[in-house]
Amino acid sequence: MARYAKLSSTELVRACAGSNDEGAWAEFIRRFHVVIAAAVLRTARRWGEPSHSQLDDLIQDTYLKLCENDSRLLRSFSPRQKDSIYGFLKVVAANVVHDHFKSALAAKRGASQTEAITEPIQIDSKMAGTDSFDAVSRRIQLEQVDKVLRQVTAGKDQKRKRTIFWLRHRQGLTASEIAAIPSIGLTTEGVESVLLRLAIMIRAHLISSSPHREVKVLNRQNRSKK
Amino acid sequence: MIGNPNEHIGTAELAKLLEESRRSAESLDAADVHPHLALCPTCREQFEALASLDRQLESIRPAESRLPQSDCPGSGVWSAIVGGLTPSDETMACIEHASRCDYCGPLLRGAMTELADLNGEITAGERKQITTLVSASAEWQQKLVQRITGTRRSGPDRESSAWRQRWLTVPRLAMAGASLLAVAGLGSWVVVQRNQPATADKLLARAYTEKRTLELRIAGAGYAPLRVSRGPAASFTSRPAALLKAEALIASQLISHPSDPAWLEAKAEADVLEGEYDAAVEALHRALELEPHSPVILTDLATAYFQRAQQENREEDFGAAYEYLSQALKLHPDDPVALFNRAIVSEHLFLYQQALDDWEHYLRVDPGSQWADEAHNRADAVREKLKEHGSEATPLLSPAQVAAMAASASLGSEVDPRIEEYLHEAVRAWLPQAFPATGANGDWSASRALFFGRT
Repeated sequence: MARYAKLSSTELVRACAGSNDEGAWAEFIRRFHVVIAAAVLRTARRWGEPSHSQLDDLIQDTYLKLCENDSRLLRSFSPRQKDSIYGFLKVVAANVVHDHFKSALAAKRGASQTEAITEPIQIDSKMAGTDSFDAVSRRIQLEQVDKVLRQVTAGKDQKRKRTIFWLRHRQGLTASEIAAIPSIGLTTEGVESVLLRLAIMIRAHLISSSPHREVKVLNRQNRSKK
Repeated sequence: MIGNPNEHIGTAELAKLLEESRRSAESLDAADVHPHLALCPTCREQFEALASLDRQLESIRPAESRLPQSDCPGSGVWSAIVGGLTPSDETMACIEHASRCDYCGPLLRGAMTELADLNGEITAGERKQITTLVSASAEWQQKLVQRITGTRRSGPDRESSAWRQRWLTVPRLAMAGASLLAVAGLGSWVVVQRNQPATADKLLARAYTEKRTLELRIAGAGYAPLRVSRGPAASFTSRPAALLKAEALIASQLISHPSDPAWLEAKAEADVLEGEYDAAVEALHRALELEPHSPVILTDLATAYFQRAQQENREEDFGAAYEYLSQALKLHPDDPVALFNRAIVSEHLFLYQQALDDWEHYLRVDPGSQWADEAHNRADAVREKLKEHGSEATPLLSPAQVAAMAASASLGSEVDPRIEEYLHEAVRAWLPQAFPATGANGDWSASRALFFGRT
């Protein structure tokens, strides 16, 4: 077991993945048990006050989940940064807890109610006309804004700018929340600056391109004075 | 935030102020946000304009959707993404999707909140609770190691399989099938009724009448006075409701009927009402290829060209508008909308006599509607112009005078400056004189005038 204690977290995960090595697993549990247990505890508290035995079961389920299907999850783990194993284990633990409470709730309600939510539903575009009017109006307006957004962000980095804009204005995330998302790659100030620049450009575009600003009658009068 | 009231607000500070005002539940007075905004109208105006845009965007934020779309990633992906466990290209694609998906966006947000919670320092109380669990004991952990290394679970969860077997009984499936058929039948009927091009046309006509911003008419629209709004009327929330509804319907129908001239024509009308004239011209040309002899498409195409001519000062587009309206009138000589529109286009081309002819023709076809009142007024204005012009200008040369001056170099200098008037006169008077329909001998001087005019 001392041999495994010297391994880095990533090396230890590799040693455990798909293996029956008791030493590796004993070190794994010793090193990560508190992280897994704390994640289980916090997540379970979102669903109510869990009993000790419930917590023990959920902790065990988390370990078993990691070994399931020949340790598929562990084998798929690919560290993106130092200590990302901790985030990985927290996410797995949280998912195990949510799955447990969701299925318990489903059993209590009658499973048909939750099955509908978990299966993706193909929305028929022809049904768009049957949406509530408000929803249709909003969708159209959003499309209009997106069209302008695409015009003003055309070129380099368009995807990221559009994503930041809609995370803010459609999903209601704050600049600091957006900056915290992996792959956005900006500080909070950077996100604030992008949002400001986009707002200025959109406003300028809307003002300059409004069809209601074209004064046709004036145009005609001016022309006839030639 | 406290800042220097005497210094203009820089972009970084403005960005921060806007972010703060976004977080505030109610709209803040600019002067309360920063002391400089109380003193400087320029900075205040800019801040208020951007805050107003923010509020407008807030007002169109859709409600959270409870149904995933077919392209939504699995709901479990969000915690992996915010945990930084997915490859960056996959992460970006999912985040991009979530930014515009009302089902996944809230899931992403929820996952972020949860991870922030999970990443918090473990408290002394939590640590104590964990150590009191059986799972913290060496014995429990040893047993777990043995279980892991001794057995490996695989395959689907037995409980969920059992549930599926319980639910999927024959009577339940039959009932569900029958209900589904009934709902689908009723739904199809409603959808078919609502999803006809005529429905879109009616909505567009209503939108036009609700807020008429075009000089020209569109078919089927009731009368409305022309509204000329000035200034930054840029709000995308101010569009007529019927237009938004029509656009939704058209967009959904064009997916399944991309080459239906009726839907293309409806789309183009919506584009014209939105000020998207290039798109309208393109759609109408496609529609015209599919249905070359449609007066409605020809009339709408003329409108799109006319609007684009005004927007971009493209003189040749006025000519195209006139041409397409003439083609429409060739097919339906008494079409009131085409007559009305061509009269206006003629005015813009300074073809006042043709405009007056069309107005008079229009008033014979539609003497009593509210549109006729507008036609009367415009015809009077054109008459006035012609009168003014007539009193200022010398009379046109007669056919005999033109024929007599045929060899003279001064004919060009006399005719060229007033070529439009001569052209009109030639069509209106000289041609019938030269080649009378009755078969009688034509006027020789008119024939010669036409001949020399041609050269």
